[in-house]
Amino acid sequence: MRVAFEQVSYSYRKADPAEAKGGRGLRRGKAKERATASEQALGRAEWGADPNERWALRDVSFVVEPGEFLGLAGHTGSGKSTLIQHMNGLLHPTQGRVLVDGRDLADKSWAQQCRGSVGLVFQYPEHQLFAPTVAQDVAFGPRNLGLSGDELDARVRQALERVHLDVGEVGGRSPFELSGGQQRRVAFAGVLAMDPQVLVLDEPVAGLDPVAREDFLALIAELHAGGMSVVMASHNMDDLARLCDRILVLNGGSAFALGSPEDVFSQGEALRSIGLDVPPAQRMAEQLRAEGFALPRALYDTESLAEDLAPQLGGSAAPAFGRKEGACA
Amino acid sequence: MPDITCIGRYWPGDSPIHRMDARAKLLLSLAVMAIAFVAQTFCSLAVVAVFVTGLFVLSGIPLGSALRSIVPLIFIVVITALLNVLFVQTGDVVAHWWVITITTGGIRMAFFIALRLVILLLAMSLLTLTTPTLDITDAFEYLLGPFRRFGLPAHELSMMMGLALRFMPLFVGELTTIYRAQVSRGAVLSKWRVSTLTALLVPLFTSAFRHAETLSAAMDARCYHGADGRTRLHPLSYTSLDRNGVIAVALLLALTVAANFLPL
Repeated sequence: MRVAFEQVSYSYRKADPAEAKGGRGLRRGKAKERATASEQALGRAEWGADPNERWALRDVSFVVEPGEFLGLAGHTGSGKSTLIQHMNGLLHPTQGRVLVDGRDLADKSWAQQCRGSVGLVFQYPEHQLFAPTVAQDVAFGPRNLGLSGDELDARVRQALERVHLDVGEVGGRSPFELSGGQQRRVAFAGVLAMDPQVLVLDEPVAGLDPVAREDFLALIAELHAGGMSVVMASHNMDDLARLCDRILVLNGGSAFALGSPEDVFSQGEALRSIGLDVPPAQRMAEQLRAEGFALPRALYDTESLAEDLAPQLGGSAAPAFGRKEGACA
Repeated sequence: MPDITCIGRYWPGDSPIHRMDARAKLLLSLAVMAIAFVAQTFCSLAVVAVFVTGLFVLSGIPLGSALRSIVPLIFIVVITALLNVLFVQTGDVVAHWWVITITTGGIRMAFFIALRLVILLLAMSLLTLTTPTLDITDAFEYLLGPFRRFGLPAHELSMMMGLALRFMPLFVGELTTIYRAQVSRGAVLSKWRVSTLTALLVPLFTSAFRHAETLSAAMDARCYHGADGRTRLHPLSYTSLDRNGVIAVALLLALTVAANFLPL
């Protein structure tokens, strides 16, 4: 399944006039400039007619290819969550289109059909648990898709298995009795039970303890290895660098950068100027490079940094070191 | 989700109305509302209308925005007016159809009541538009103060009112998120089934409890211990503005009563 954003812009129509005042003239001017070309191409009306409009997304275009792992990075308020909610038609672009398998999500029946195949996991998904038992909560999604009986039970069992929970063990318990990490797994299973082809995650590991975090990231990597496309918004650059095929960086609602982790994280200064940073190992490599070490790779993780650094310090990277992923992160 | 956060929103400003003491404003707006009921003729109601309009001009709030802020409540006005048209049967018959008879008296009455209600709503919204919610709850506490000796927990009541008002927009925001999350799981909210309702309400209630626990811990951490011995950062105090307000409202009362005797 292919999700394509074509020059998507989104505005909060009910912008508060008092709040929007600061720098709106400038913003509008820029937005207009950028829009002209796309307007001509799409034959649409000129945008920004209402001076009080605030744009949460501006002219964002990208494609999530089938099986891809796309990372979303950006400062708080950069439009990540807004963008994510466009992926299954919860929000509709003010300008531009979102296409899933070539069909516009503005088509309500198509958006409804896509609810199952584009699984969206909100931030703190455990806050949306509601059913008396875990099994019933996980069954909510597939039941809405019209499944029942054995098929439904099978879906619930599989979904719980995919998040490494046993239906016999937790299925009959109340989700509110479980630990925070387990609750999040259950909420996650609730989305997986709909058997999505694209998994969209908003800050999936926020607020988890270090062990649960690693487990959860491993789980996501596992699902991706199983053929699912994943879109993950995160504040943690290290997670993004480790897991993603490509990273989209948002700043003030516009696409700031889009490319492989190597492309994106080799521009440390630019990222810092918009309130982001590079992974810790990469930052260290930058600093060592400035001190005169020869570090030629575009992107370093702990392991590769140790490999390149050890000979220059007159030793060799111990084989025991760095084999465990993210040992120093 | 409908946007219900705009009702009773504070409109920042520095007008004489804004600077009046919240207690005085609360009592005087109640007085103006009562005077709207004293008015028995169109002429005297016009006096009240001019007064309220004058207050809005003085407060610097555009009357258009004020009217927009009462739009969600306008259905009350419409229903009341319709009832009056249908059930007041005085004067000449204008139209008659089946069991419905519309008379000039009914139309007159409907207009009168609708106008009175709009004035009431505007007077009420003037209070909330020009006074921060915290000041309103403070005023509420002061005014309930005398009843404390009869065991009425004035401070606690106003604290509860303040918290309820404060958390309202927060819960609206959370409900929106929960709604979107459940829609993402294929819930169709246009079919009002019990399962979809619980899918919205259970998470909303658990989040309310979560907030309540966090909030009480935060209040404890700030040594909150209720009303006794609690001092104020911004003590309320009456000024000459409030005296002028009382005089203005007293004049309004006199004028309205006088206008009642005019033959109109």
